Amino acid sequence: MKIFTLILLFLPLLTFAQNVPNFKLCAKGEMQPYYYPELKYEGDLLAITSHFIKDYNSKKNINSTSNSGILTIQFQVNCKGETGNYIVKMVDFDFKETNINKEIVNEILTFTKGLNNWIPAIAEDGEIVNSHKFLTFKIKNSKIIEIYPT
Amino acid sequence: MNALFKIKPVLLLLFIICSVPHITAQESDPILDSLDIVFIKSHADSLDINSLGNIFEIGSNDLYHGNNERGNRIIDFVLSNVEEPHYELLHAISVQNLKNGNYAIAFDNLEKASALDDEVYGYFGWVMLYYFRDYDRALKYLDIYDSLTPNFSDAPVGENIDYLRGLAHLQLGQFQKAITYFDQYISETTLEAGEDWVEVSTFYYKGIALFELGNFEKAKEYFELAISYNETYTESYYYLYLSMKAMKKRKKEVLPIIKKAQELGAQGNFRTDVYVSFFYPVSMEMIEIEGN
Repeated sequence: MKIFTLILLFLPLLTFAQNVPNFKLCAKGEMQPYYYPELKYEGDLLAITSHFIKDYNSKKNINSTSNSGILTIQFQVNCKGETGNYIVKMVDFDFKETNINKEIVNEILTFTKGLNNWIPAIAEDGEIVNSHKFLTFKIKNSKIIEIYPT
Repeated sequence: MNALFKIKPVLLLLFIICSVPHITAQESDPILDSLDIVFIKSHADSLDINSLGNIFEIGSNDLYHGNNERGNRIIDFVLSNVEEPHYELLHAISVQNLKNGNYAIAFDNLEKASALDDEVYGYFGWVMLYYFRDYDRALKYLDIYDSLTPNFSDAPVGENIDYLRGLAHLQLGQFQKAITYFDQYISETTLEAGEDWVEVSTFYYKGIALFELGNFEKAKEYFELAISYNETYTESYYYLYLSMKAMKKRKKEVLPIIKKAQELGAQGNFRTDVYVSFFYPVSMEMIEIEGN
């Protein structure tokens, strides 16, 4: 029973430990690109896609203005798999900078921060390193129609 | 896919940029802030920081490590000192920005590069397909590139142009057109070198197009063909199973297929790439749903 109570107590910490408020990069803060050494996500793109399909509720924004475009969220993943330093960029379908409805952006950003299964990259010398990563969401009429890359 | 790295050798770029006079970043520069200049100067022990080529290298390296804002300010500073930027330079700026998800900068530079040299359209079409995921533009640019050499089968970034067109149509849901282009590529390559020279995923994608059209029997043939060339093609096993299931084949016939997909998937046999995700991916979760 004690163990069960302890698990219940610590479960929220385990689940949401990845997007930490006082995010810090490891070592001297040096950063590697997501593709070398390779940063991974447990279950790859399909796990990320299902996370959004399952949880992202697009209906409430459907009649809003500026509800289409390409949203890119750049962030960093440290050697512990924690994420932080999120930056949001938006372009229209002609790849010119634009603004997408704040409510949509905030919602997707929140869900992105909820991706908890990053597997940090390991350098050739065995060191677990920090990486920078981005996810792009193609949005049409508030709905995410494509997510890439991973 | 690794060809993206091979396109713009840095040394060639440095040669292009180094042909302009040396320059010194001033404390009151309109593009660089004082911290940028301190950062550039921190390289003075190992590099001649009065060389525009070296400053470009510092900016490009900064971008590589994810410092998008500063890296691009440094690159903008270099560009502001180059009277007529070579298309290779604009192309290289685009590549690194694209790999960081800076689509506006990547597109702008590639558009300028293609205006200077039509040859860029091959790469432009290729990245529109895989990176920008703009399938209409991918087709448009691939057509422009193909029109440069009408009697020659082009291969932007090493991939057959008809295979790429097939993929773009597949992503647009234009399955019959996709099949036409896949067939063009398959028959041309088979005639010239033999079927075993065809990129195996073409059979998978042709199978997908047939599957989407509801032609499960023909789709099955192509998934089997893909497997005959790649015995560990998990995705093909998965769609082979779905095709047979749609054909209402008996359980004892279809079960070994999904079990094989499970076995291969558990060993990590999935078609992946470090930069982008491939079209029509299959996950272990999808296989498990069918297999259990």
